[in-house]
Amino acid sequence: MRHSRPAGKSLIEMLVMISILSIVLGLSATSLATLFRLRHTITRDTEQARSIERLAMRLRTDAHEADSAAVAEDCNLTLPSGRSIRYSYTAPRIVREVRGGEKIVHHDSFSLPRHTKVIFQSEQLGMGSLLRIIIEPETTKLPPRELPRAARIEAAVGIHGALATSRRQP
Amino acid sequence: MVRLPRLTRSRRRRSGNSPASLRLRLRVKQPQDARSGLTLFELVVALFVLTTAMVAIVQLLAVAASQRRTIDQRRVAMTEVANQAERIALLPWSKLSPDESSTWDLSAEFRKTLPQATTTMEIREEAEPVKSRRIRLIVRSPNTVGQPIDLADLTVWKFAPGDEP
Repeated sequence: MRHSRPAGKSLIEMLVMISILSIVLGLSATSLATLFRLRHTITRDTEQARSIERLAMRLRTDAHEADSAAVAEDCNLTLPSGRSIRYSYTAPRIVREVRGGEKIVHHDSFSLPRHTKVIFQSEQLGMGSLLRIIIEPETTKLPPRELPRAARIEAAVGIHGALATSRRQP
Repeated sequence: MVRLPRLTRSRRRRSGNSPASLRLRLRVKQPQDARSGLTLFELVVALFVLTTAMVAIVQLLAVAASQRRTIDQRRVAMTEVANQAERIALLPWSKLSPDESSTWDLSAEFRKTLPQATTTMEIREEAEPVKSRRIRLIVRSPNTVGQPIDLADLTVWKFAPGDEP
């Protein structure tokens, strides 16, 4: 008499299958979490870099045209036209205000990541003064990858087109 | 309309029934001894495909991380040369000596991000169209295979006093 074996999977096969599936699922979940974290970091860093680049361009144009600069908690530039430009930090953005007399004629803002500290400085150098904005992470207990990038923007005050630049992409 | 093939008299005699009962009987006669599951070959193929996919993903992530690092280094290098250009703008004409290569004081962030980078400042005299000095600021850093690559290359012209455009 012939006995037919029951169709299906043995316990060993099931255990092996569950183990392999667990490993694959674990790896997938870890990879996905890493990818999402990486995406978040890249997005934040790209936005910060773009914002700082825009700020640097604006600050240099304003500083080159300015007659004088006064730096304290914020930075005030006086233009030959009588207008004044004020750069100030109101977390989490640097605000640029162009004033004609008492009236604000233009308002611009540059977003920065949270936990950022901004310092305005001025230094006497050579024939004039050098304006400096230091952007650095606040001292917090955050892990290093969560902290914003540090940057330093310098601008010469009152050079009025004494310098021409050409940037070449290496 | 699909027609079933007509059974001959002898085949009908052998089966003794209608075509429906013949199909039922054929189904009953399916072999029962074949076990369902994966053969060793199938398992090896599946593992090979999985391994290939994982290796490809890991390589892709490594390339993405490397590209990101390079972009970050270029950003820091460009910021550094742009800041140096501003400092040069404030220097008096007499302080910029032509036909010599030198370097400048580097920021802490630059030294931290690019510890192996070298910086060069080249100054050349130009008489046309106006009297000026052509100052080239270069940041070079070795890549992963040790070859030096230019991360930033900025040229500025400082005009002689009274010759500003």
